Amino acid sequence: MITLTSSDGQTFDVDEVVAVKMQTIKHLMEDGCAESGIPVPNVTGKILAKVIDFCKKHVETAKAEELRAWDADFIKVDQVTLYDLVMAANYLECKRLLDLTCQRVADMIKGKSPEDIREIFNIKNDFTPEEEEKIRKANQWAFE
Amino acid sequence: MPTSFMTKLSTDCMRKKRRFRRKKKQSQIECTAGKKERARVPSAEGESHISELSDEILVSILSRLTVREAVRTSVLSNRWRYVWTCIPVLNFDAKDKFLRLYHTSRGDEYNSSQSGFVDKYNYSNCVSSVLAQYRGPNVDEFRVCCDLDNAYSSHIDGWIEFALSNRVHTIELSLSIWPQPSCEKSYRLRSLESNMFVGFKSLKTLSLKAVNVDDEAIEYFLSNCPLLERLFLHGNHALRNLKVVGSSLMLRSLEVERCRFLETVEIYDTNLVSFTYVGKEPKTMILKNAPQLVEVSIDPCGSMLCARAMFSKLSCCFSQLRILRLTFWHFEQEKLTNYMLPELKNLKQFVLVVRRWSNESLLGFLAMIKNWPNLQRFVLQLKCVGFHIHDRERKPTRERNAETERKATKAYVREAARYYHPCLKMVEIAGYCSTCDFELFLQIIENTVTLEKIIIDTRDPNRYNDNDNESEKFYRELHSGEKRRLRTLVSPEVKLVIL
Repeated sequence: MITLTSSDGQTFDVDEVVAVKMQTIKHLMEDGCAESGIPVPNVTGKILAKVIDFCKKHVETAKAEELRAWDADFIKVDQVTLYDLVMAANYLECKRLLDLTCQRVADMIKGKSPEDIREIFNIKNDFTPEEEEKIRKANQWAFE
Repeated sequence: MPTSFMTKLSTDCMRKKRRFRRKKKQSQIECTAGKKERARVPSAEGESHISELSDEILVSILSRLTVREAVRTSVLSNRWRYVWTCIPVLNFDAKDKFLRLYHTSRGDEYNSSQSGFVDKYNYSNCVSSVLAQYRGPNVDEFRVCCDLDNAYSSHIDGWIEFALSNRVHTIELSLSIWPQPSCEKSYRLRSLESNMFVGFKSLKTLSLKAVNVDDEAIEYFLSNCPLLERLFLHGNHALRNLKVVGSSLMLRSLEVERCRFLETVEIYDTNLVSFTYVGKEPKTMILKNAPQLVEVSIDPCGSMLCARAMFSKLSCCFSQLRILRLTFWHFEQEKLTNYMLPELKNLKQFVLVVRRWSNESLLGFLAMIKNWPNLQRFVLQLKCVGFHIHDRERKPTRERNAETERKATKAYVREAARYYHPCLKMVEIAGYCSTCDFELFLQIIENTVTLEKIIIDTRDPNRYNDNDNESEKFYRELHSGEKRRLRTLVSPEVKLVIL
């Protein structure tokens, strides 16, 4: 059993076999720093709980189809949570979760016009009209 | 006020960059791997969350899009302007419409009925333009797929140079969409420049279609790419002799397809795992001492006898072979003895792809598996080619009358009924046609007690191949009555799947 402490002080007891799914934790365990618990300063309790849930499910379930369906449900979260999950997966080095979350964001971008993308992700267009025109011209084929 | 970050570009990158643009307001792109602690880039007031993700993560997200979609993000905001220039996978597949350039009224010599015209000139300019803007430290995969001939040599030379000098590990140059590329105008890979040599150390997969590369160059690749695992040569008309020799080679998978002028193929003392050969048998085919070879696929572009003849040259791997795939034309009811293939003790999976005329029954094929006691999976793909003459060797089956055919079929039923397989677990029949294949189905389920699953796929096995749509009319879904009949014949332990 490994204890993980989130940035806001929540503690989580995790089986070793689940904890090693997060490479960062795995390395700390191998280096022998895990006895008194591992602090995870970059991740809040809410997100860490989800990451641990993910790792647990992937350890427990072998059937690919079931896992795929569960992943599809797991990833149905609001944008803020999604980005937090991306960053947590990156920090904790959980490749499968990183793949899943990045793919989800990519799917949200696919097939959309730049205007739509800006709206969905609330990206502020900080180009002047001249700059924007220049960029579009540089790769005209992509914007046709 | 956002702090500025130092750009870390490797010296290689510095050398390659012709124009080095400095970002005006915010941080410069950091394309090196993992700075976990700096996952958040400090953002301006009111900036969205997604732009707070690090460059590394954004690049990972964009690498899951097509090149076109990735390039489009350059206009989102300053933060996004150059993120796409670091994506590690550059897949310029014209078939996937990465360009969406359609010119329906141009007099282009290339006309694909499915996807419309592709403007090759614009395509090659686009690829070259994207490569010129590229800033990443290295490219993982570089794929080009478009009908291009030697008129575009200067572009293609540049692409290969780019790929190799960027330490790519997968290169795929597919310069023809047709299965049999013509040779006269194909692009020819010429000398390899010295600045490309750095790329050889990382190359793992090299796939060349409709690219003429001579013996020496292939030899060079094999000896100087220490990590090369997969080599696919398709439509290479400059190749005369192929030698894959030496235990230092990492080559696992070799695929040679329609290299019309290939005379000798020598494979020995290697760790090759999988070998595929499509085309007329070369004058000399030698296979010796390849203890890891477990997967073989042969398509002699000819009859069953041709397939057997070619296969017999590979006898040294018979006892270790696990997966075998044979493709041939089936002309008429052949003698059962013609179907006998050598004993393959360890064969677990057999895929048989048969090009047949629409009204032929193929019971004899069951006799093929008699000598393979450990076979577990048998996939039969039946491709109907109707009455088109594709090959000079075709014998006129239409002339045989119906009576003779029926008699021959009965004889087959009796002979094939003698087959009994101790181990077969899964059978799949793709391109199933209920008028001619029902007996085959019966034979299989009656004679295989170990059967766990049987799949009947009534869809055209050629459906993914753009160029072969004539066969569509021979395939149709089974009526519910037919489906019920099949299900009643199958014993309850066996799972029947009808597609």
